[in-house]
Amino acid sequence: MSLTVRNADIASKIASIPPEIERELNVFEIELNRFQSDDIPENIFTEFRLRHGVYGQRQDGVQMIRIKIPFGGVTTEQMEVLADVSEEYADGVSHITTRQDIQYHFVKIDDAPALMRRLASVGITTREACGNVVRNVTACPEAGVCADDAFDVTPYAKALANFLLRHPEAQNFGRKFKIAFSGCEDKACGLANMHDIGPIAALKEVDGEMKRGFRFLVGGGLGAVPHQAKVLYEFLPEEELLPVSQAIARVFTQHGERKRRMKARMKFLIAKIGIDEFRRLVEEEREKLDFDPRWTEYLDHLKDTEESPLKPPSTLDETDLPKDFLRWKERNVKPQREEGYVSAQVTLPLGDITADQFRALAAVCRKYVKDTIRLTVPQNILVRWLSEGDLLDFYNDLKAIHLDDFGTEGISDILACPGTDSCKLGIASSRGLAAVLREKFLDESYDDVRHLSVKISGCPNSCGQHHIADIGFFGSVMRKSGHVAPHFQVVLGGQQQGNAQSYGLAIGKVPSKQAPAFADRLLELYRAQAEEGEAFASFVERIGVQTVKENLSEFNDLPDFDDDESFYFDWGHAREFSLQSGTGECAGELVDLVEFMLTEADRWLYEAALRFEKDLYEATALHTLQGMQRAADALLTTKGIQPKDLQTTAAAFKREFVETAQFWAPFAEFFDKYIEMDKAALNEEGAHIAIEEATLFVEQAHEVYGRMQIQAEKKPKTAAKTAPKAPAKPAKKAAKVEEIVDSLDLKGVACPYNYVRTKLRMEQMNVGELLEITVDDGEPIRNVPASLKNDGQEIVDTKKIGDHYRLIIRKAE
Amino acid sequence: MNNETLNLDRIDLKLFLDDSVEVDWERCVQIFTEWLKADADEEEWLDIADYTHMPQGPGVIVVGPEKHVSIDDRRGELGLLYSRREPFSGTNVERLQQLVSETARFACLLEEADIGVKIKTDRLEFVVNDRPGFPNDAETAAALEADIRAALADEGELSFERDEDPGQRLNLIASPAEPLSASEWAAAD
Repeated sequence: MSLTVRNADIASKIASIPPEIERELNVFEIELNRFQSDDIPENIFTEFRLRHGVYGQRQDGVQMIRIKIPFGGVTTEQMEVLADVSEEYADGVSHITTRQDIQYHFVKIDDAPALMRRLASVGITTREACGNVVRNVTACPEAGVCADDAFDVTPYAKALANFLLRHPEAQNFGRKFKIAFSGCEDKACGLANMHDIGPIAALKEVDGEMKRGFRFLVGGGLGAVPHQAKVLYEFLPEEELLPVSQAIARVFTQHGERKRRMKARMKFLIAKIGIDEFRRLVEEEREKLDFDPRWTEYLDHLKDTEESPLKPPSTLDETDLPKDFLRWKERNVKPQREEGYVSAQVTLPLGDITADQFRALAAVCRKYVKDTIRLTVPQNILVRWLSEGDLLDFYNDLKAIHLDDFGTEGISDILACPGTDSCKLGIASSRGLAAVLREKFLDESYDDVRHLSVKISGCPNSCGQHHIADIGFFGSVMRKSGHVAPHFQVVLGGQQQGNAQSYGLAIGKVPSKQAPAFADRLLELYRAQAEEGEAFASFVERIGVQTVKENLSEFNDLPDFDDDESFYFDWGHAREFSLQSGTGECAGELVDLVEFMLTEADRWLYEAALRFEKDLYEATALHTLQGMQRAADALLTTKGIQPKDLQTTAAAFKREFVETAQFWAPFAEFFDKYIEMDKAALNEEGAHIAIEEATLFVEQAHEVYGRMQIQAEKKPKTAAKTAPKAPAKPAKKAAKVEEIVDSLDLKGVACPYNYVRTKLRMEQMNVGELLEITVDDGEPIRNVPASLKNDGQEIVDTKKIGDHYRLIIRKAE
Repeated sequence: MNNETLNLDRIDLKLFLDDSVEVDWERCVQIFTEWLKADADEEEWLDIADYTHMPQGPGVIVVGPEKHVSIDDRRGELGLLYSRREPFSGTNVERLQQLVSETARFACLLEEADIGVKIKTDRLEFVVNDRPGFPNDAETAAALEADIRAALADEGELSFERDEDPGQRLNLIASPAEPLSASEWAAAD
């Protein structure tokens, strides 16, 4: 829909859009029209729109639009337009993301050009917010006002963001690319360790002068398989920041994986070739670069991003302060480096703010500060340069617009990705669980553990940063008796401190509905057994995964649907999580067996984690391989293939699931990788990755099986290729006169494989055709005909021949 | 601005709730889910967005390709909000009439659903969801008021009030002297 502007204020803002940006917006509109006229194929348009921040939601026909806000810095004017746009084109909510971006949901693609133009009118772009490009450059939100930073990284983050935006050498990556700046080594704010590029501010004395530069980290990342960054340079001088980043972009373009998306992040390239070879390649490209004046021009304007206060410094009158204010102040306010000033965090529930609140917050900010406002990675808003004496008035103004929640970055300030609310990859409702836990943890009884962090992802991809939480969750599923229940894998003991210095370890999964009770018991355990001042990660490491698991085992059980169906409904949803599948005798046994095998696979992974804790890295890898083998065997069971040995399983799995694209190939490769790998050579990081990768493989197996069950449920009872209906005749007579079109010898084949093979064969037949099978006496003759009848097939003849039985089955509609 | 230049593609209507009754949000999700299931084939709805964790937020929204319907709590004023995302057909007056009857239809559905809400019809908040095209000024409001009067010609005397903040969307609250019930509006379609 084109933008008709009669509003003079908006018209004047739009008129100020630079011509090159206006042209870019026109191109987007043209490409959208071409796509809608079938002039360009969908896959081409998809990549194009992604690069403009337009991302398809799981709900058909609506889009998520992501907006880049470099280092999270926004002005009050931008806040107002962001609010307006959320109201007019989305659902009235701006969602702050973990990359200091903003996302809108439920936007119609036709509205995207108008939305982008409105944002461009206040200097905001959606360009390169999604897709295989440099995503929003983040930075510590306290940069420049924090007492601990070496220097303010803001102008550097801004310069690098602007330099790489639309840069020709940053347009052809195999995968996305993330950059985060940190002002210091020790604190959590910058999270430099989990980024493709993570510069940390550093000072070094050179020729008697203190010189600015960066401890320059590369190759970190969370995702499904987290990697800690490696040090590319202990000290990179400031003038080399942009050219070295450009050289890295070149190396990533030239050497990064392009076919296998799962292996395409830069962390995999560095893990593959090693940091020394990577450095050599970067330096080789750095040498070849033509000089670009932009590399250093910005260094003459570092003061442009310097902030100043609106009001003079002051102190807070501490007499008779309200209790609620004091609680808020304790959690949400930090003193700045400058005497008499503080920064205050505005806590947003699950990162959400309404249009009315966003506009009102802009008005509140104008009363107290200049445009010194930052969106934060934990999905809140930081207001800097508040004169301390204004703090109570500021708080009361926040209270009037319902933005006075306390507990920023504490246990109640839960970070969650969109999950099944809108993301195509979501498995379970991360926001639903987050809302429930948040409500619980806001209670004063959790004040003693308020320093802990909880982060939730809806799937293994870690958009909710579960790897770096004290208590992390990521979405999963479990099946039981034909129903699917949402679950969460629990990841404990990650650490944000030290720029995300270590990642947690999965300890097993709990039903989603048990997660709050599980968290309570875990906290009880921590309260009871932690030593004075002991960090949660150290506590988990000290008492061990096994102890934690034992104490929490009661929460693993999934009741039968009939006993408690609430377990099969996700948080905030009134629909059953998945569809019920039919069961028969063998079919029931098949379901039970597959689920049993998948559960065994989970157990192998748990055992692997125990070995890892004891530094037994080879044993860790062997256990992860066992887990993957068991998961593969579980899926092969659905094809009637009995487990034999590792090589047979691997070959059959490849044939049945990988080559048929039922199982995602990048995860399937983990199986081959650990079959071939010299497991004795694994170090700590390699063993940790083995657990992560095996977990992904097993989780994918659960998901594939879940999908198979849902498809079976959806499959129409009438076969695709319907033969003329057989004349209605007495069954025995029919068997004598009709042609038996196929036969299966199932002598020696155990339950439920005999049933599965019969079922698979019948799927190839036309309605009314006859199949002859031979099964063993005992369990097979009791179960197979019953299961087939449950499926609706007609057993037209049963005859005992020696120790076996011959059955004639007619395929039903 | 005259009536001919108005093009009411994006219009919202909010009917306020009797705030003596507390909304059962869980039940609200259930009802919207039933709508979702019932209309699965017609593709009237896409999903439900639950914002009940936000104080004075959008509440619970059932999202469709052509409209969003919600129990909305923004500004602390609970109401049934109908937000049109695809233009109605016809003249502006016809569009407003469709907006009223559609909203009334959902009001009836909610009241029948035993959701614990009582929807009032004494104040109808019309919002034009298009700041660029419809500035919230007196001239544009006058044009909208004329269209609303024409659309609600059968309702008798109407009085109007407006939030004049130019940062807000064009808005008018119409108050009939003798309001009809939601079912009467729905039946008038």
